[in-house]
Amino acid sequence: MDDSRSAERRLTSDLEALRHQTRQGLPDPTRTARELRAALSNRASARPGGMLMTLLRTVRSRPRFATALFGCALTTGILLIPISYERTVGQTVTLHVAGDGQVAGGAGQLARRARKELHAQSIQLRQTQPSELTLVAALPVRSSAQAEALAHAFVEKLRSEHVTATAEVAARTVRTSGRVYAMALDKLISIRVETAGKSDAEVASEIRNQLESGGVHGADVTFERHGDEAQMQIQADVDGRQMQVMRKTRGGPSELQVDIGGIDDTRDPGMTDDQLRDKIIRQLTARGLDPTVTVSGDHIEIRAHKHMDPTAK
Amino acid sequence: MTRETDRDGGGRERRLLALLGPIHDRARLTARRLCRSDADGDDLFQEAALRALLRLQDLRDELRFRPWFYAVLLSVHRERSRRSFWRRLVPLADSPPEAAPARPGAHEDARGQAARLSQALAELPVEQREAIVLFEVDGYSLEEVAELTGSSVPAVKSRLARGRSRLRDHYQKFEAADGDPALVSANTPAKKELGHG
Repeated sequence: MDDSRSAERRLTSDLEALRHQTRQGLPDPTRTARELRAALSNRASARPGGMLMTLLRTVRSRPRFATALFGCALTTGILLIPISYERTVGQTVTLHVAGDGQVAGGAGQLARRARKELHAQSIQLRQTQPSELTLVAALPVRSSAQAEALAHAFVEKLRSEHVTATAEVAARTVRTSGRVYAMALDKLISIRVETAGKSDAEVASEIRNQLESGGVHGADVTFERHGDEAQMQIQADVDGRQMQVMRKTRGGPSELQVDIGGIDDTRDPGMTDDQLRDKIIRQLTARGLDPTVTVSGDHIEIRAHKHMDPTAK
Repeated sequence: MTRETDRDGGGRERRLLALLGPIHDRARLTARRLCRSDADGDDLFQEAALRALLRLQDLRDELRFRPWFYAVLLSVHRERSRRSFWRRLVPLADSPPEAAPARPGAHEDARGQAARLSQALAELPVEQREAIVLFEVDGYSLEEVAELTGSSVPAVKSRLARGRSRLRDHYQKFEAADGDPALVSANTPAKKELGHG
């Protein structure tokens, strides 16, 4: 308590001392005018600083801004650091079919059908057990969901023909070295939105959120329904590339499914424009898209349409 | 042609000095009281006067010169406070040595007392420091402080209350440390805001 009173007294006394002390030798307006003229003269004769000096002054006077700037530079630096990461190059579907004699046309015919139905690049056929065939299909699609859907559809088709089959899907990966942002872009963005019971704005907002989660920021998304027709449009700038996705459907399932990215458009050594175009077309076709691809040097233009079956559930 | 060397440069300087005349001494005192030393305060005022001269064309109503000039002065003060962040990291060789606060028991002259208060003020966040200096030291009313700092009266009251409380804490620690400023400094928790330069 004594300390408190004593502190209060000392503070009051010091306030008075500061009032008094700062009045000592206070420059008068004449001196202010003189100093102002001198400052102006110095300023006029001083060489203006370059951009670097201006930046340095800005940074010195705004430490928080400087910290933010440093953070941005660090993040950019991290994104550009080459790293080694696993890259999915496709999916492998392993089909176990009970008994080769059940299938019309035998094992060879089954392999040909599997290749066609699964859009497989290659098929390996093995007789693992006397009463079981194993087909290993290499699919170019990188989306496991797409591969599972194709495998499931094929298994269902075989089942309708009284052929017992099971399918396993596994990703084919390669270890690659690239920059962090390259890895981020390499990942497929899958959009799955249940549109039933939601307004157009809610659906658009959900698409935007899923794009944000997938690393596509600031996308312009529109979703409109007129009767049984739905139209979705996405426009975004991904790493300096304009991305535009447009989907128009009539009827069909209420769940909206769009896969963006994940297209391997890297040019292998010695690959011509036509070969690269074919490589991209193969991947889009495997997704059930009807693509138009133009490749001219570094310029790649992809347009793809998907024909939806209005009766599909 | 630069702004300061144009034909109206002389006229503008005369205009500024004429407007500055009635508030000159009080504004100079405020500048000194915001800083740790008179020299720093004079430097702050000079920089503010130069900036005011260069921006004089922005002054629309001469009747409102005082709040306008104080806005410039306090803006320069805040910039300098931020700059001191870097000074802490890279001490400059030409930084003036801080005046040693007086110890009780020793002969307490006004200079030592003022230095002690300046040190305590330097530890306050810049807005609280400005409110304390303008209200408690310069003697402006609450409404005037609000006008000069471009804030509302409740905001000024709040800054004053928090500033006073921190000053009291500082002085109580000073008393408890038996007036040893080194102990006060060691006991004072780190503040988010930084002291002025």
